Amino acid sequence: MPSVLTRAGLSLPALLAGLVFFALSGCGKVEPPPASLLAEARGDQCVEPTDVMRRDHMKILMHERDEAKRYGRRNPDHSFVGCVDCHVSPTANREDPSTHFCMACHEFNAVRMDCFQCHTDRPSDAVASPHRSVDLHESIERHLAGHTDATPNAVEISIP
Amino acid sequence: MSSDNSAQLSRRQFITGAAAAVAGLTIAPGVFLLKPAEAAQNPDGPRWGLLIDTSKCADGCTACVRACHEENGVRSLGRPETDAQWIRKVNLTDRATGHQHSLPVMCQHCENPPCVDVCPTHASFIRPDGVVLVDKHTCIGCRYCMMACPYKARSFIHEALTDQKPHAPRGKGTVESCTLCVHRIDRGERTTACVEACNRDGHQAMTFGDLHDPDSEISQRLRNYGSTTIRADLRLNPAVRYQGI
Repeated sequence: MPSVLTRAGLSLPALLAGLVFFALSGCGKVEPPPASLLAEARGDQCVEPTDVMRRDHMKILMHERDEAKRYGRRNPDHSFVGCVDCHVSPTANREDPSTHFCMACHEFNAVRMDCFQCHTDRPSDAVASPHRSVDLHESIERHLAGHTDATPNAVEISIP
Repeated sequence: MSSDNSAQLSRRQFITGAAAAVAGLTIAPGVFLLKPAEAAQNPDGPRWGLLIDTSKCADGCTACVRACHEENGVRSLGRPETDAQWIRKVNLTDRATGHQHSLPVMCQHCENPPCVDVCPTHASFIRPDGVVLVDKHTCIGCRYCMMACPYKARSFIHEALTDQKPHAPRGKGTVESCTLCVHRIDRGERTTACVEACNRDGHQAMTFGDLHDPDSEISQRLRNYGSTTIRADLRLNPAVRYQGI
């Protein structure tokens, strides 16, 4: 009986160490999705080597975001709009991740990101997709019309 | 030993001095009499501003509002009570004389912005060139800034959005307002969507420029003709100035 305990006592740390090693072995690596999921970028060459971008693109974006936003010091090489313009196809759709460069890889690696809650998910030259049919001009006219009725566009102020 | 002593002494002196200095400025925990400015404006650099001549602003014309919302992708969601407004037309009537004005009101880009003072996450900030913006990465949507703003210039986004403009990210749960077309400023352009639209329509009621540059058109016009700011009594020193009100 004691021999069993001793054996368990010896093997437990080894087992834990093994588990920790197993758990950490996946860290720091980014698994690229199958080539069929990776849309071809439109530019000739990325702003940084592929392995750097794969591992550190979020650090580059995060690091330079405050400089750009708070001080207007923008680096065109590391701009978010630049990434989307080059990598995302004009016909991509965020709801179908396989068509969208960023979403395909994030979906595959199960990493959630919030970028596209505010930033547009499509390049500047994207064509209007049918599922987003609200025309901007029409919408602005509606906006202006709505505000002239009851709510505070065209505020009337009388100076006594 | 002696060197140890002197080191301790100077450290103690330093700590006592620092504590006294802090106590002098502290009223209660977290409440301070003085606070260092978050991002000091650069007196040598530009300060961007607008001058609006209300005598030239046509009653019923909404060219600036239309252009601003088009430029920045501000759409109606069919609910006028909560639709974002970056710029609005205000009609003023002097009851004594019946004289009427019409003028656009947007974020006034104050030098001492109340929205920056109240922001708990430092998301509302003023750039060194005087543009007041919301950093949506850190905005938690508390809307303190909307209440602090005397010009009612800010809007809250209530619903999830799609099809934003690449240069104007906008998202649910954050506050937004006129950015003085900061994307154009950073590209080196020296005009805004509203000014461009006003000039295109031939009203020439708005001028954009550098308030710190004595030779700029806006500075010369401000020097030669009288101008005022809305709620000048609050001493916020807005970068948007008006003539004729």
